[in-house]
Amino acid sequence: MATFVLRRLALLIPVLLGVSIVVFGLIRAVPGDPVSIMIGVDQRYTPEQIEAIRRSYGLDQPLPVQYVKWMSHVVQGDLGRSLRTRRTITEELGLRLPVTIELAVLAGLIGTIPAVTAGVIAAVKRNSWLDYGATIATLIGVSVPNFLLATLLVLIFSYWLRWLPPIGFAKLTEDPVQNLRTMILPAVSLSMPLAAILMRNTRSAVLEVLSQDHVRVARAKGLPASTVLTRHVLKNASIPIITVGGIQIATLLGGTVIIETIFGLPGIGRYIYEAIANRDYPVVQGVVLVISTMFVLISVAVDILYAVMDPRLRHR
Amino acid sequence: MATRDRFEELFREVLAGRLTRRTALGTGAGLSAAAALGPRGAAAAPRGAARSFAARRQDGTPKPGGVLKVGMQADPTALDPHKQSLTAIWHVVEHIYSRLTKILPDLSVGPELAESWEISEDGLVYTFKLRQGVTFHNGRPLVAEDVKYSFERYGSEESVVRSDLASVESVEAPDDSTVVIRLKNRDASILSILASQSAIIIPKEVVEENGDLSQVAVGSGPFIFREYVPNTHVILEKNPNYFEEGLPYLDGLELIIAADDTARTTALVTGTVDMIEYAPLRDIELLQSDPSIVLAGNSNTNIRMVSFNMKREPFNDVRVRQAIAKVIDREAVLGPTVFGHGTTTVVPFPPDYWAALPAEVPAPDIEGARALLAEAGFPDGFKTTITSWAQYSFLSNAAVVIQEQLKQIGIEAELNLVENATMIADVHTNFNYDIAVTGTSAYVDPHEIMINFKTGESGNFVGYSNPQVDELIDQGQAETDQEKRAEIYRQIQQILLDEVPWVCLFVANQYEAMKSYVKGYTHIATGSNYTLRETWLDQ
Repeated sequence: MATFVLRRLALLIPVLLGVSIVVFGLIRAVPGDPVSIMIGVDQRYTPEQIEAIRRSYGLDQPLPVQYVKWMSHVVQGDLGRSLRTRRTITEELGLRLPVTIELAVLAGLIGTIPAVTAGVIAAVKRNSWLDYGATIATLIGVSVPNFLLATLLVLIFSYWLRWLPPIGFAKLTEDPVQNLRTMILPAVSLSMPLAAILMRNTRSAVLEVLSQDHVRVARAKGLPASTVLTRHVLKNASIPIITVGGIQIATLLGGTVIIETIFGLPGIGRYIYEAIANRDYPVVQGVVLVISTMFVLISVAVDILYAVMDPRLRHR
Repeated sequence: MATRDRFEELFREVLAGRLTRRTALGTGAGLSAAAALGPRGAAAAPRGAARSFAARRQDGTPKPGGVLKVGMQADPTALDPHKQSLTAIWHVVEHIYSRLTKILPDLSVGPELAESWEISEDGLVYTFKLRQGVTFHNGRPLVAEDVKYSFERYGSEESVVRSDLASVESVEAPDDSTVVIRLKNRDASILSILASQSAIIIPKEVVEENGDLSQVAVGSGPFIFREYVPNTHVILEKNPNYFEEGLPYLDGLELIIAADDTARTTALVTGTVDMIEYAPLRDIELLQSDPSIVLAGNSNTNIRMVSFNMKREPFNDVRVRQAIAKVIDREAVLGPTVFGHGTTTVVPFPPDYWAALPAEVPAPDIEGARALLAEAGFPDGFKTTITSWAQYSFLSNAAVVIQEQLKQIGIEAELNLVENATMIADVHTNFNYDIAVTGTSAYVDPHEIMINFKTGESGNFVGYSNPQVDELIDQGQAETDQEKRAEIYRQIQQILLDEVPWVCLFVANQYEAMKSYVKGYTHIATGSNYTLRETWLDQ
């Protein structure tokens, strides 16, 4: 088991090296220049003046030199400084990563537990009104884009009912109540597609297992229905559910870009969006690297979960 | 993002009690609008626009105390106005620092740190007397040497706003309370530049201790900087030693960043905040109909226009540009862009601005346009592209309308909506476009707009060149008599109307909205919120 985990973790290195080169190259390949954005469109300047500012940020050096410099700092744990805010990226991440992680965890919880439960019930009570209700809910969940849902939730819970504030984020450590009050709507909007997809997959995975011979045997030998379900059905249905869940939780990170902007949360999604728009090279590079690491770690975690659930996979 | 805007619009209509959707050419995006198109210290005011809400000064006897929560449209990202030119930075630091001068509500220049000033006969030497007894928030007295240091940093090589000071030769501090600014050439705009966001007076020791001012702010203004949490809020506290007697009335300001339009409006309506800046134009009717809310504002000076790359064919032909100017229907642009909250104009100034050329906004003349185009050799029109800002729906929607209007004379334009960085690179720097729908930021002095038509200037992204105009621009900058200046600028505008480097479209309105217990706030057409120091809470 230990070698299995280590082998998976070792794969991180080439993946992240590749990511670093791609993101370093891509953000520089798109048109636009960080210095002219800092200057804006109304200022007058000569090319020499622009060059002087570029020099002060080290942007005048050849690309390979810039890359090697950056990487040599990264391996020491220093992700560099934002061109615009002049804060260190580690400091910014310390501020923003917890927000996004909290959002993703909340969305994950909201998205998985009720969805899996509903999926199992829909499968067991196949073709009942419960099943149809769940299927319709799924369809809506998959089809409604989360930005529309977010706007709707603001209208209903902030504008009409006035239960929750539309803005006004507070840190979890400083004011947990206010923090949850501002987190709940974004987490719900973010979790919707996840919940819908997960519920569908659970239903079909459980249905498939239910029709298999060993389940029939278990029933035939007189096991109670609950034991059949937990010991024989769910355990076998869990592999495809974990796969889909793992991928979906990782893509939650992508959804945070829009959700964090609508609800004014200082998370990492909004941060990277702004960094890309402003060509803040060090931030884009640093944050993409960190997000990729998280993404890869989640898939390693999913792999490990497989191995836990299914001993046959441990030796591959 | 296009879809998101459309949906939002729909819901607003429902909110406002109208179930049918009016015309809306839905494109454009809404993610985190970084305020205007850039920066700028100031603006001049047109008044008399149909929907102007009077600034409210006589509100009774001010009551001190309380913290005002303001919903802000954009995150400042950092706090150093010499390192980035961003309106959102200005809307924070204007409460913390002082400048030599300030722009008054009537858009004239008044004193702030400077008690008085004298201008030499030749107009090249400005001598300022500083107020006595002003201290920075760290307790150190503010002296003339600080002014000299601040302007040196403002004009240094690494300052992104140094061009503001292009006409400044030197800044001297002969004694603690005197500042002498010498100019290279006469410049009538200098006093308003000294009131701009970058002209703040900063203490040298704070810069040296922190490397720069990105995360710290120690000024001599009415509020003391306490905390900035990116994308969340800025907390400011009353400066008990502020030099303007009795001000500020508030104990503090909480500037809460609410970039999303729906969230900003909702926050005000529900009382999560007491006031919002940049009240979303599509929500104006909704806000007006709420008895607990009042609005302040009128039109600003941000001009929106169609501009041509005159280095490319066929736009180097004046007849083609004139034909396009004739076909454009400005009224039709106002609805989809600013929901009617704007004023159409044919010159690059709002119609009631002191330097504006009085000119009628003509009705479109399709026949005349066709004739001109035929004369230029394009009787059946031609194919081209329109480039505009994807992030600002008031520009991208204008581009969509103009694309439609051009079809009337056979011009088939492909729409090219790009994000900010590409727009700055392709249109505003590299002449890599055909037609652009773009805009300027607010200004106080007409020179700031006129300079965009001078040969070889970086703001001259259309590649326009006319020696007579160059000459007039220099004259206008050097002239200090306002009436004579206006005359010079009217001549330039007449030439521009004939030669059409830009087809000017409209100026938009800008409003702040607040709960009715927020008193004493005065709208400034520059977009500045500095009158929050005179604001108080009646509760």
